[in-house]
Amino acid sequence: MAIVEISGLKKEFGEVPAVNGVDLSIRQGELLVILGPSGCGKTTLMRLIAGLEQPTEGQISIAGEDMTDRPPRARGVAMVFQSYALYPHMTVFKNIAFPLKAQGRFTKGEIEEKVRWAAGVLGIEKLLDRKPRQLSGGERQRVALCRAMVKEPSVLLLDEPLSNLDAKLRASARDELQRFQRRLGITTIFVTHDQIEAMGLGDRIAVMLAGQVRQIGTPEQIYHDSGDTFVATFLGSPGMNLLDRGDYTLGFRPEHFHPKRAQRDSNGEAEFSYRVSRVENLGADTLLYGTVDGASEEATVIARIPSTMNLPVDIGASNPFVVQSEHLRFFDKRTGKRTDPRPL
Amino acid sequence: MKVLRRAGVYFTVLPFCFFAAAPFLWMLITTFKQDRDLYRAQNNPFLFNDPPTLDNLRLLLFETNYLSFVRNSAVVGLLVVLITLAVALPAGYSLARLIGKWGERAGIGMFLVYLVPPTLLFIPMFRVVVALGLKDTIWSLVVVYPTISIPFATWLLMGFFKSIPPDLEEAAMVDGYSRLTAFFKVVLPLSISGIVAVIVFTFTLTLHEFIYALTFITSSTQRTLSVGVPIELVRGDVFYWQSLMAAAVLVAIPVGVVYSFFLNQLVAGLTMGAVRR
Amino acid sequence: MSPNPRFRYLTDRERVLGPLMLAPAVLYIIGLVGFPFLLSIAFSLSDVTVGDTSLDFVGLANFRSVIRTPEFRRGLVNTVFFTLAAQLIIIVLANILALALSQNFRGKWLARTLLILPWATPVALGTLGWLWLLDSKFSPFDWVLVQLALLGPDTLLGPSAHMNFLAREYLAMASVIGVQVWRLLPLATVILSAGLSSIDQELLDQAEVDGASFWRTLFQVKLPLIAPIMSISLLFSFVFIFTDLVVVFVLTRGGPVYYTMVLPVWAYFKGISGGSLAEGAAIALFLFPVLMAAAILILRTARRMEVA
Repeated sequence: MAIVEISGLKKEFGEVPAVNGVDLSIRQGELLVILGPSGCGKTTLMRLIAGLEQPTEGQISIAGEDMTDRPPRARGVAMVFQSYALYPHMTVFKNIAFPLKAQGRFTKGEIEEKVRWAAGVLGIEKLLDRKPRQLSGGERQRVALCRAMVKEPSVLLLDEPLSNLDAKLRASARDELQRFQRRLGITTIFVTHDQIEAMGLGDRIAVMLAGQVRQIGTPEQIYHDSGDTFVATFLGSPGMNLLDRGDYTLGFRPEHFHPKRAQRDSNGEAEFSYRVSRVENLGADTLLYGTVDGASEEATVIARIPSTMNLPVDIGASNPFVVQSEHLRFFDKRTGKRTDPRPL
Repeated sequence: MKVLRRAGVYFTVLPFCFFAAAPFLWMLITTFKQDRDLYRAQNNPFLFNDPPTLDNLRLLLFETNYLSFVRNSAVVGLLVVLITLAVALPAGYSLARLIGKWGERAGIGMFLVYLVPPTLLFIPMFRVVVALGLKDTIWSLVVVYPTISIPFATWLLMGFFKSIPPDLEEAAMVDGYSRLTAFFKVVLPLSISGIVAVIVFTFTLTLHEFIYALTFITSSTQRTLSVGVPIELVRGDVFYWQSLMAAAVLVAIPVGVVYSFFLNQLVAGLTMGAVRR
Repeated sequence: MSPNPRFRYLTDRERVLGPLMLAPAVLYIIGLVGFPFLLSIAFSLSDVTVGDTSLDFVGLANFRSVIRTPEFRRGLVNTVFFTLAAQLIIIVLANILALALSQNFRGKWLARTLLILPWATPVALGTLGWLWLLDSKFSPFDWVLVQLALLGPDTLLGPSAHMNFLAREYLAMASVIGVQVWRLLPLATVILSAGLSSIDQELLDQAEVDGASFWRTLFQVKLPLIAPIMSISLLFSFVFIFTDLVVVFVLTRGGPVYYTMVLPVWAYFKGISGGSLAEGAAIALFLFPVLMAAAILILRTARRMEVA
């Protein structure tokens, strides 16, 4: 059952379309990630859903009601900004109580109860009397989430909430966030430019570029069945290798690009002559950088070899490398879209 | 809903504009009124019941020392602004970057000095001016006005410089500049709005200042606008009202227009200097 | 042979550079503020007059004699009262105006130019304008009130066809307060506008999503966040009004009788017009303790409200 329905949504700032025709159906209880590079329109899209911007065209409905003309407070949404936007002059308790007070229909006792309940869910009961400036990054994030959920919104909007945390904290914060979302079952829309975050968190991912959704699907779908070259190269670290083949583009992922001797079943494979120029040993994997004979000299092709695999490779010389046929991807040269397989 | 809000804004702003500017409009009308029109209580003060005349303007510009007053105020203003900038810019930078712990205290101290008013100091200050041989010249003002503007300017610029990240100067120093050169080449260009704020405040100060100008200077040709106009144009019990009004309006309009151009800079300078510390 | 390295890197030696850059300001202030201030105290404790320049110590005699006069007493009360009253009005009006100006609307530039005019003209000249506006015989206000049949024989505001603003005790006081508000409102508004524009937009967006109405956002988010800058604005207007001589001097000369007298004007009358420099200095010195107390109070409150 779709809880958020977006159709034909457009938002222009002057001449520039930040959001250029977006259709989305978000299901009850799912965690949808909107992924894309800076400037792709993902934050604008989120602000449109929240009601902070008015669309130039299109419709938004939440929980079955048309919200296109409604202000943010009538939409039943909650939002967490990248900076967390905690009111610096209020205690944590007052911050969390703020949206409840704004609704005006709870007594002081009810508000107190709800705030304590929400604080309990996020484990921040001890912080209720502190001010934001006394909190760490992780604590602030929890307060922001607490404030968002205390009004039991239909939709929770998160705008890059993990970017302000340092790298180590990010992984555990991601874990906490997902468990929090599963436990409460709130429909959540999460915006990010970090594809690892997206893959780790999302039930589904919508990949955006230049104001449009290029592909929407589960992490597996968009990774293994990328709909076009943009999605294919954006996802994966490093992204898919692309080779110009005259009238089409051939693609394969670095982890599927192995030395010939490590073959297991020759269920059809493509062979390449790979000249390695550089090796990066990352511990669990090794990355090889090089070029493929027969393709343009500028196209760097990357191979990812797990450390478990034996790797006698001559740097500088040509080595035979293969990709299994099922891992080959074909894209139309002009549009970049995925096409059916061709004979090589 | 948006229409209602827009209307609310106009509804609020218009009375204020009226309160602020209507006196000037009326002063402008009065400037051109003939005596016999002005000095009849039954006459509508907002209309020309007798044809308008340029006589009052003529009187102001050619039969008084008004133009000297304007010149004096301009010269004093310019020189005081220059002196203030020359002294307060390095002082503000020093307090922001180089003095450390008690830099903040010294900054507050600066601000408190600003609070020692001319009305307290004018009597002994007069003695100082006489001792320096500057009595009855505009130089007395050029020397004394910075005592009011420097503390405030230093405080504002200190706050301003503090809000600029030190990385930029440090990068310049690594690139081969000395700290002083880095100040000139990197920090100053970034401080335009702070400097604008200082210029506007200092100039306003010299334009408005009354008590020192009244006490130190007695010859009419040496007077500044602020004191010269009331003294010159009130001879005994006779007020040359139309010319007085003209004097006020002639200053207000150009200065007001210039200020409004720099208003954005002024606000930005204040924000950086006084708000974000 | 390169010059002595100690001098070459002088402009890098922060221990030297710091005080060096600060020195002109400090010297200026010590010389031209500190010294006269001490001199002021010396005068107040002596018998110096314009004629007799010798400084003979008389202890607190001057202070005792000036306190006795009714002009002084009224002056002290008025100085405080005018300041507080004008201050209160200014802070309320400036907030309203700054909030209205934070919106974008057509003609905003014109509005801002008009609003800044009272600050653009020298205080003395603007006050002269008001002097004529409030004139006892030819005031336009009188004329308008007469036209509206509120003034004149058999009307609400009395048999006379003139309000005589500056010759009636309470109207004169109100006029002084009014002119102070008129000339200082632009500055206060500019300062508050600076404060408002520095509020993080994300906080306001968050408040909108949190469901706060216009009034709730105003009172629970915006005003608390500009409280520090508001106290700076308060301090400025306090100082400007408390120590002001011009408005009263030009508008009423302290009249009618001495009902609008303020300490700065009284100090001038006694010290310069009257020739008794010592008494003038003594009167002026009364301003100092209140000023310092107010300044420290306001700065401390601002400190406590720092939210960053």
